[in-house]
Amino acid sequence: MYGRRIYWTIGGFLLPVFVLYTFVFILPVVQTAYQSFFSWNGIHSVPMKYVGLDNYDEMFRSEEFYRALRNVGVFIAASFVLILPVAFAMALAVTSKMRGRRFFKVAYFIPSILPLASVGLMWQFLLKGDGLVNSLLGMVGLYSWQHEWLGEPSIAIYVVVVVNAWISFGINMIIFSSGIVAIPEDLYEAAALEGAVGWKRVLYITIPLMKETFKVFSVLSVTQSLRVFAQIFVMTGGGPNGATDVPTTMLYNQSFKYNNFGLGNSIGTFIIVAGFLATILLNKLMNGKAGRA
Amino acid sequence: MTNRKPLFMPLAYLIAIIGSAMFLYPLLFTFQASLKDNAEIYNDKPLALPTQWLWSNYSEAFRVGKIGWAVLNSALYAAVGTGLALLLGVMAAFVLSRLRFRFREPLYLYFTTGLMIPVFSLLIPISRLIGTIDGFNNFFVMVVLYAVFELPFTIFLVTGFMKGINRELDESALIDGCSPATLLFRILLPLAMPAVSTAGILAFFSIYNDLIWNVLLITKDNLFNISVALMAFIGEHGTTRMGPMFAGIFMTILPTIVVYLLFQEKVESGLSAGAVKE
Repeated sequence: MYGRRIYWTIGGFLLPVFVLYTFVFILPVVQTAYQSFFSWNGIHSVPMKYVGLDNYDEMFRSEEFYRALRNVGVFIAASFVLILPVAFAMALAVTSKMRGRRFFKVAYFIPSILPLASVGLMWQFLLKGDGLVNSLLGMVGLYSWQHEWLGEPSIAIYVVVVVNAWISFGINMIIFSSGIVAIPEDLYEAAALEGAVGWKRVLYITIPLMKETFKVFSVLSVTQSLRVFAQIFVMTGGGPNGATDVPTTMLYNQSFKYNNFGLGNSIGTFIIVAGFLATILLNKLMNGKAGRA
Repeated sequence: MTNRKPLFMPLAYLIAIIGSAMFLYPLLFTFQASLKDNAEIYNDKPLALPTQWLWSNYSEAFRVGKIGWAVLNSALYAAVGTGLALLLGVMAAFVLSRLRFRFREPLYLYFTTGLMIPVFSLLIPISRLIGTIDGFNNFFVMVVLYAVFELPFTIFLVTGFMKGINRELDESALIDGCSPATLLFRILLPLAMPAVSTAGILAFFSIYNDLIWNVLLITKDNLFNISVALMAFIGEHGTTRMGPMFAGIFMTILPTIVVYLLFQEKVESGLSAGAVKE
């Protein structure tokens, strides 16, 4: 129906997008991979030097890299042991016939919309030695529980993970809510006749029928954990002493702090490959819907 | 939920209220502290209201930290970046959903591949790219970058939606002498608004919240967005006086809360669609 005009339409509408997307998004992906075989100190006049697999060798030998991976693992684990149960309970509450459920929904969701940098800085202040968290603990007499929350290497990553959970409970609550409301009401009615009420209806109706939603959540928890950056960047910068580093902050620190751009690019390549593999494999495995890597 | 035992309800309410306090109290505390001086923030009564409401903390955040300016900058980056992303995304989605040609499917895959690539992996090549075109501290460059990063999701969402709009519409419009542009912007775009607005909200929030690209590509403080302006304010003036810092933080989060309260349902579905990508 377009005749020859179809080529003009395709060209005029798609070409600008294609060119921009290719130059700003896809070409940098190729460059990251290609330049991971070179070493470079970030100064424009200094040429890159081909070093083969040296960057990868350095990456896979460095303990810091494995610590960063372990920290991603902590984020993923927290998604299942902390975010999943709490966000699911929140979703049950806001989809119930509870009075004030609209208020609860807004209250629970608000942290998810706040700018990450602002929230991160806020928590950094609240978690300082003389911050709110410690003063509240002091008020109830729990002096021995007081900590320099973000300053102690042994606990800092868990504190960051909990702050991240505080941020993302809300968005996951919405995801679970949409799964819950998709369950037809008459199923519950039928189940009630069989005696499934209270916790039983959650256990035998809601949870089994939300399999798809849980699959989506699983894919997300892995792929989003690979993308954590801003929270850590503003709260700890990856410190103390690298204790809260994840691959993204390590890439930033290695490149823009220590001018080790070769290693930075090999970490970048790793993140891209891991993101691809995680998305594709998990979706295959779960046979579910696509998620953002 | 229906059919609950009476005993259960008070407990559920108690938990729900404690939950709300956990999410809202830190924000309330931030607001309280933004009106206090250090002595009051650090005394043993963190729950007390300020004895004297120090609105001067806000004027200091405005004047010294230039936080008001940064909020405006972030809103401008977000508005222009979102507009550009939607314009480009809708044009691409039109071609990918309504026209039949040979490389349509591969092209669609090409554009949505971006969904799987964390942009943090591109910090180095992009800062090099911006260096070679001498594009540091440039509003226009930032906006184009932001728009392109939002493209994969916009194209994904709008293409999917447009595929569901009846094709006979196109035929009759073209027979009536509509140009493809008129068909897209006058006829299809209004019909695709649910998807376009969802994509727009997600783009707006993610650009408003940006941290890394502003850190990397902007050094002039009149182009700082909220994230960088806050970090600079806190970095320079330290924590010797916390009141203005809390004021600055509160100034950056207040606009997002207002936008959310105005468009609750839309923001909720927009942000969760961004996460789930169904």
